[in-house]
Amino acid sequence: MKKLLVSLSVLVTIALMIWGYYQAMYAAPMEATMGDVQRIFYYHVPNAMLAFLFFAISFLASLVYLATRRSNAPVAQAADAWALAGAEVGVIFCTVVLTTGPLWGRPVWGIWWTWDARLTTTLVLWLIYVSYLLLRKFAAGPQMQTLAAVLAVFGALDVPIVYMANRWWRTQHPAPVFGGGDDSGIKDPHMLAAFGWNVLAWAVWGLLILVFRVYVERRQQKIENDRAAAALAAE
Amino acid sequence: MNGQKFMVAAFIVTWVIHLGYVALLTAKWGSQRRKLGQ
Repeated sequence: MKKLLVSLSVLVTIALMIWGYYQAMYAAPMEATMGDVQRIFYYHVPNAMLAFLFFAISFLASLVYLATRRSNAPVAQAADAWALAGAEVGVIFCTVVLTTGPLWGRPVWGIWWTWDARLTTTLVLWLIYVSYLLLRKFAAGPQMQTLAAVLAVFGALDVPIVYMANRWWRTQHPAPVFGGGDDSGIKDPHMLAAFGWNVLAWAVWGLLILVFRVYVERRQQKIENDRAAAALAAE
Repeated sequence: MNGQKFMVAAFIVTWVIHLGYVALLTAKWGSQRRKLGQ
C-alpha cells in the first residue's frame, strides 16, 4: 500500500511537471517586450514562493523543537527532522531563484546582478540557511540542534524582508506580480494559467522532496540512536 | 530581444539543481538501507 502510494505520488508529480513545462513553453503566449526570456518567470517565481514556504516550515519546526526539547524528546526529534528538511529543500529552491534571476537579468537589464534590496536580501537569506546547513554538518555535541534551531528562527526573519523589499524600497527587481497594488497581477488568462499550473507542479514536486528528506533524516536519527544504544550496551 | 538561449539555460540549470539534489538524497537513502540491513 505504501509503495503504491509513493509510486502514485511520483507519477502524478511527473505528469504535473510535464504539463507545467508545456504550459510555460508552448501554451503561454510570448511576452511582447521581452520575448521568450520572460518564460523564465514560470520557474523563477514558483521556486521563490516555495523557498519561502520551506523556510517557514523550518521556522515553525524549529520553534516546536525549542519548545519541546526538554519535555518531549520524540516530538523534538521529529520537529528537528522537519526543520532540517525545510531548510535544506528551501536552499535548493532558493539556489534556483538566485541562478534563474541573473539568467533573466542579463538579456533584459544588460547585467547579471545588481545590489538592489530584493536581490541582496535574497542572497542574505540563502547565505543564512547555507550557514545553518554547515552548522548542522560540522558542529558536534548536544547543543548543535539547539543552536541550529535558533539560527533557523533568526534566518526566517529575513523572509518577510525579502518579500517586502520591492514594496518598501525602489529596486531594479520588477514590481510585485501579486499584491503590489491596483496595477499588479497577470492580465493575460493564458499566462495566468501557465503560472498557476507551474506553482501547483513545483509545490507538489517540492513537498514530495520535503517528505523524502524528512524520511531520510528520521532513518538517520534511528541509525544514530541504535549506534548510541549499542555503544552503551558494550560498556 | 528574444533570449531563447537564456531561457534554455535557465531550464537546464533548474533541473540540474533539483535532480542533482534528489540524486544525492537517493544515494544517502541507499547507504542507509545498507546500514539498516534492508
